[in-house]
Amino acid sequence: MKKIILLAIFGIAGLMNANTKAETHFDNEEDALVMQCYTYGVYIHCTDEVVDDTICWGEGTSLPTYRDAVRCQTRNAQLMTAFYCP
Amino acid sequence: MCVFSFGQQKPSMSKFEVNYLVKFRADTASTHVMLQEYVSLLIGDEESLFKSTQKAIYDSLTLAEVDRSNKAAKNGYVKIDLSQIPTAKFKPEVFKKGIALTGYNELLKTVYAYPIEEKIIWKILNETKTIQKYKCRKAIGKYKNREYIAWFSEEIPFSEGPYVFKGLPGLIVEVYDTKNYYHFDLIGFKKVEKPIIPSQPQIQTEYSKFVKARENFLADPNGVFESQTRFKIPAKDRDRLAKMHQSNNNFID
Repeated sequence: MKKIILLAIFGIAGLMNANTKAETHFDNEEDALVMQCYTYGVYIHCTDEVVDDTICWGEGTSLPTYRDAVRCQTRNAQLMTAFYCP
Repeated sequence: MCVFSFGQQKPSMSKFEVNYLVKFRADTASTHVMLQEYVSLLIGDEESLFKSTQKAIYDSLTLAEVDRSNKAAKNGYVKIDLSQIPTAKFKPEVFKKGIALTGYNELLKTVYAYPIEEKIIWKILNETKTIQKYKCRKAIGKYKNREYIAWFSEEIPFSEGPYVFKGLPGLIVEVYDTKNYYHFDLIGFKKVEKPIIPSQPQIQTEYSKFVKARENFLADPNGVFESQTRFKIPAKDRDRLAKMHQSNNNFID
């Protein structure tokens, strides 16, 4: 059985500004005019668990574009997988 | 923390690529487990780059998988599964520019770069043998307190070889230490133009400082991981993870 074990923020992608509208969609690969955030889970196959993280990109974050967010997300997923299942 | 590099210079191109198979023992206590991986040596006019072939493949495939997972989100939730993408086992890279060697190594996906100061002083012997189709001569040398035996071929006139094993009057075709912890065999040699691009380091340092960081990690893998990520390792996993990382104790350096 797969379990979600924790809501974690590993690898800070961006700081969320409470006054900024957060949206989620993945088809806009241009610079975001508003901050966009999404939660994703990394499947840890050697323990059959999922670890959650949240990433924000666009205005007000250190990740201007969706591509930057994907690279950051990839690094976080690699890190989590490598630590648990090297 | 994610770090990106901008304004990179145009890379130089290789003229040749040498592929090796490396077999190595990551844990000295585990006498029967040998890992193996294909590694590549790109040779250009002034530069060369030695790195795991799987490393670049892994980075490219994982990036594509994350992008694909994002676009396949269900109810706004993304699930990333990298389990089907084999990771690189042989992590260190060596970039040579002129006579200067730079090592690249990683700890928890943070890439460290440091100058490699130790030079191998080779002693060339008269012993010869043919490996594949190449007539080779034997040489012996020492690196990081390990004795190495190298077989090089003057028929391939590059003073090159895998990892830090360079400086002989011909390409190294086979090299291994006397305990056979690390063993490199030439698999192929071809003309090829590829960009010579070492990993992007997050930390430029000295070798001794990288070793210190690695020692700190091995002393408390869970603690270092937690401090870098703010992720709390569950109690049930702590012993297993600590032992697993600490068993990786036989570095080629």
